[in-house]
Amino acid sequence: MHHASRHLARFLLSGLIAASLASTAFAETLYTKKSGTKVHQDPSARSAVVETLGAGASVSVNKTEDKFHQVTTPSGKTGYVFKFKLGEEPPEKGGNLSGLTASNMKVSETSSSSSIRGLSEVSEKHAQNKGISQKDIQAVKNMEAFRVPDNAVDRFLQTRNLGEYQK
Amino acid sequence: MKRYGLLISLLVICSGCIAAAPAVIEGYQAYSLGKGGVMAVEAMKPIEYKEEMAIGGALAIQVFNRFGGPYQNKTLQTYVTTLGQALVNVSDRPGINYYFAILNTEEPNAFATPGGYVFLSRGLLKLLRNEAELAAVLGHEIAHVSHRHALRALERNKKLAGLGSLTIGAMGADPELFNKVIEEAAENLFSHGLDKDFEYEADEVGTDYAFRLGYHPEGLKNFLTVLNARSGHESIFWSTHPSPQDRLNNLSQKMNAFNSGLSYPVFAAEYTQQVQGQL
Repeated sequence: MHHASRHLARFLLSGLIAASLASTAFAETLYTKKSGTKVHQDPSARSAVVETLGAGASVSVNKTEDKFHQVTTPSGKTGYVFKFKLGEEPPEKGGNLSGLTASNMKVSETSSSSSIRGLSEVSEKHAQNKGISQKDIQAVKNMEAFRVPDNAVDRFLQTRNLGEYQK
Repeated sequence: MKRYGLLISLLVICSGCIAAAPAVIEGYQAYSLGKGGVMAVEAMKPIEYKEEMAIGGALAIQVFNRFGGPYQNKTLQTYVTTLGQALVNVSDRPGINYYFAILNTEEPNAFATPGGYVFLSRGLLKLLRNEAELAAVLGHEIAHVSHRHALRALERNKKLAGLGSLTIGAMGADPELFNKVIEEAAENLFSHGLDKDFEYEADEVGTDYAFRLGYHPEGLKNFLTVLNARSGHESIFWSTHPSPQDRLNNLSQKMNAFNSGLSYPVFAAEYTQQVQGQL
């Protein structure tokens, strides 16, 4: 009985070790959550930008240093990305086109998602049928129109040493 | 005995591996009490983004209508939107647009409607003491959107079971259908509140989003302590959420997941500088 249990224990232990080795031997594939994801030379957002990726670009993770993953990009370049800018699945097509330029815009993002923006006609009609005033409808439209540029968000984080600028 | 101990440990570890594997398989089936007794009804299929925007937009109009309209202050809106967008960028769902507004009411409130509409009231901004607290409150609201809480509540709603797939075409063609959906969603948002597990999850995820940016992880916990001291004040904030004490108890159990917050900033002076004279 003791002999059998020892064998079972060894079997389970070797399985665990093999699984652990397998997970380290193969690089994990992650996807950029947004367009304009910067790949830096060093694990610091203050280092040079090696490449800028579009949304949904797949990268393989070589190693992790604090809050940065060292990755290899689809073009074969190696660099560091702030790890919360990468996800396990490609992003949904939700219509966030901020940060896109003609050079990094992906075909998939230029299709139907770009039309799903702003207050729906169905929502507006519903409010009108309910007798809600036009000023409340306009308030939502104004809210949607109020945008802060990506570089202003970046500057905000940089001055506070937050996000990818954390020390 | 030690050998058995090792064996048991390994079995526990292995079973843990299985338990930890994501096993979120939602059954889209609800039940209704018909003439023939309890019978299965097809529950609503997952609501897609276009429909989410229509539902969220209709609710956002109601938020302005019920809670004082927009507070017109470009400085504050820029501040809240900048921090909100920074949180969105490290969230689990940054691929959709998010919109931020301040409500012109003294009542401390915060809302998020599907589609990424996030609201904070002027009264809430007055209660906050630093930017870490603001980041955590915004993180909580963004988490409701990123984890599709309001939509999941609708998809599970027994009164909407049998509708099958909710399409923008169907909702546009049948205003009564859309009205029914919005009434159910509004009931959750303004009266009954979401399931308390969704609120607890938003507390944990919101805390994590703020922490990902580098803020002190106890921002929300500290703000809930402030809220707790105000319990009893008239506000739908208290009727639509679990009590601040229950939320504190739940969140306190999860704080081990974050590094000791001693060296993380709260940016109290920066917050004061941004809001002083603006509220």
